[in-house]
Amino acid sequence: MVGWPLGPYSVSQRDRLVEYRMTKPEILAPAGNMFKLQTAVRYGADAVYLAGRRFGLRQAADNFTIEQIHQAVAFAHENGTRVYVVLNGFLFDEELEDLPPFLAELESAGVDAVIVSDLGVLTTVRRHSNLRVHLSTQASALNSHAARFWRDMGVTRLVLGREVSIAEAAIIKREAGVEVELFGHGAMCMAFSGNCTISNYTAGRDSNRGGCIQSCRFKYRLSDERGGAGPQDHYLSSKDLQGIAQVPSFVEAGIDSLKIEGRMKSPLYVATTVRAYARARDAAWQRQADFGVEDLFRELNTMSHRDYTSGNLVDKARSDSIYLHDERHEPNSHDVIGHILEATENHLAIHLRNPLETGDRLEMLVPGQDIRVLATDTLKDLTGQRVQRVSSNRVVLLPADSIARAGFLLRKPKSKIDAQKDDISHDTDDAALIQHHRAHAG
Amino acid sequence: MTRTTRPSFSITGRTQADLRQGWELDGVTEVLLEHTDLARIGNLDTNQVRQSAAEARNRGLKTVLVWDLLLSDREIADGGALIRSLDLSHFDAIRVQDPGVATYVRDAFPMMERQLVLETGNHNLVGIRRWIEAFEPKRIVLSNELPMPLIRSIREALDANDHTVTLEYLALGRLLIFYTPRKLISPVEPETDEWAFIERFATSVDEGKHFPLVENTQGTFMFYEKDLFLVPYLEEIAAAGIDVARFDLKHFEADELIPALESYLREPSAEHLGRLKSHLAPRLTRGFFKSNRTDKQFVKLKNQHLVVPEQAQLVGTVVETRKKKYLALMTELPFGQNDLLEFIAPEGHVAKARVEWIRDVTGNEHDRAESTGLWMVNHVGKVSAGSRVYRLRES
Ligand code: SF4
Repeated sequence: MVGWPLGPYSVSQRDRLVEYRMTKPEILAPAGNMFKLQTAVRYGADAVYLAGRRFGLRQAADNFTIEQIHQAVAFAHENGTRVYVVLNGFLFDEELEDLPPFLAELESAGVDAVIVSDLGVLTTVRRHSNLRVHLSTQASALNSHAARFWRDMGVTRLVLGREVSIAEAAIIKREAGVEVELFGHGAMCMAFSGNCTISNYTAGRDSNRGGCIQSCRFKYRLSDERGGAGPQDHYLSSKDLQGIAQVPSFVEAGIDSLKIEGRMKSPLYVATTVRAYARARDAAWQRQADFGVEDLFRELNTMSHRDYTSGNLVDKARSDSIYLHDERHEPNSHDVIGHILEATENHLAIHLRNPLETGDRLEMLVPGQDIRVLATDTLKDLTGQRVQRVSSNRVVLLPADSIARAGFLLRKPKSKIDAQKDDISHDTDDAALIQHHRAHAG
Repeated sequence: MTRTTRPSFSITGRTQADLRQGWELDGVTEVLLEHTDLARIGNLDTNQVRQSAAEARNRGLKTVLVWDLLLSDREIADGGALIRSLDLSHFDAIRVQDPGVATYVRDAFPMMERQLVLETGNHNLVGIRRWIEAFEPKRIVLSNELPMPLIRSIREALDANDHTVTLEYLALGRLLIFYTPRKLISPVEPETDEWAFIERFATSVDEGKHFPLVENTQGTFMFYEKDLFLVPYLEEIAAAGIDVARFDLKHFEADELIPALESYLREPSAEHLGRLKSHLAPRLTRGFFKSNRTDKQFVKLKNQHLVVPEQAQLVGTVVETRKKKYLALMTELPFGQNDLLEFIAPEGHVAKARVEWIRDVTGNEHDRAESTGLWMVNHVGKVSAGSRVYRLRES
């Protein structure tokens, strides 16, 4: 074994891990709507998670009708991708009564598992269906005793709490004999999942039923007394999780699934993260010593995000995991341009989310391959007229490209410096973060 | 089962002196002992826990060791070792929340009575029953998000099944609304000791709400700005089937609060009520004691015009409009000439129109758009980019 380092755990833990068989973790992607699901599948997700109209946590996501769940499963299965449906709200009894018909629909659609956090929901699922059940991170399962309990309740996989390290997850898997899933990327609750009810009390919206107003992202003033003076900052806000450097450890530790957060995030986010993590996972699986972590870092920085942290993946999250920033997000190096609606031998039809001009550097994300730059010398509108500039929410026609396929995502560097792709150097934060990851990885 | 007019009381306190004062209150039958290394917000060391347990026992009170942390395997092992060193004969029960800790306690200390905290979620009887079957606790601590009518139905259902489990509900104290293992105060106050017990208020800058905040060795805890105050409703709480009301006194000046509480419990006059309230936060809440309507507003989160109705036949989405010339549709279902389509714009405008012509992007005419993809059709007024397109069933 190459010996990908798992971080600073004890020798005895390390010895126990050696007993593990390496596992090729599935890349599990968020599917907030049908297009995002298709995007995740195209870019290499092994599994996707989505919600129906009820019983889940992301009430602001588009979510799926029953008909769409059937379509989604058919599309995903045709492409070898599993579909998990989230039922992770904490439900009241009258809602549980409505659950069995929905479960029957999920079974007939052929979904691969449901994700639950509430023991009442779990009991209802087990009573009324043969669906496989995964335990949601909302249940904050943190240890092997809890894992055994949930296993005995009928759970086959635990989405462990974000406080669990990769090494701890490996031990939980071995001790309890269940599959384990860990978040590898995305926004994080600062609180133990399921243990935050700020929105319930301050906004009348149940955060455990999809109503979180993200109060942990607010600015607060700290003081010794109620209403006193004091400094202001985002004391409760967590940086975003980014575990690309830890992917080899996922493989070595036998983690079954690497989950990407973000059913509310954009299709470009889904494409970028799935592509990056699938590449890292494949390289780690093939035991490539250098899997291009710098390039993947750079890829993940093309999107808007809070500062990144490796969270608890290696060791316990410390003070540098707090996002003490005024800005909501770190600036992204690239803007989304849109996606390909149609790729024929005559043209590419692109739906624009941002304006495009002749001569712009247009980057196409290709699943499993390097970024491909498309020619933008000739832009045409849908009537076939040549144009210099096309604004957002319009369709533009480009010359055909042999690699391009419908659904591929497109982006454009924000600055000239970023447009000179080969000359890009990491900014200080990236470099420091990579160094940090390396130190902990080695 | 007949219910007494008031529940019995279980108390916490920050210091031994607070506990001694608290258990003098009429109706107190139980003391919760919160060790710094076992409880979320514990302030008692090993000796103090032992002493308090012995004293409480002598007074005929039930002693409960609180182990309500959410923990890793290593931390559970450490906690288990500490509990053994405390001498379990001092305690009548152990109180846990983490199902892993509950499993560990059930297996490692099978003779100890268990109390299970179900304050996080657990809003349905199906789940509550399952917890009871799995851990056979003698007590369950219900969430303050459960309104009284729901508690009454839970009580009735448990009684009907001969469950002897007692039910507890927080009646006085701070409402914990946020619990993280991360330290959030000491990192930004370099002069503070990261192992200290730190208390602050976090005021939300935009809303001006003042939330009490505590950091200790176990992490950081935030509480609702209003203290939970259900003392005037103790009879209703008992009538709903709650056996034990908890007075969580550890966040208050106990030597002022407890005498005021004692006076009010003895004689619930307006004067005593005023005095009691003066020792609590300026604003008080009944929580969800009367009703819980926390999910009534969710429908407003989404643009309802773009939500696809459950039974609708979504043909596709309008991706471009060119006035008086065409609409470009990205389709998910086939459609044909003369079909009647309904367009719902993101702004809510609804238009119905028949398909007069269909073209592909290269300009070829078609009778039907059979494959899903990009199609152009005749322009329809007031339809904007992003509009959803549905097929209407014709009667
Ligand atoms: S407010 Fe923050 S910590 Fe609480 S549930 Fe929402 S995202 Fe999580």
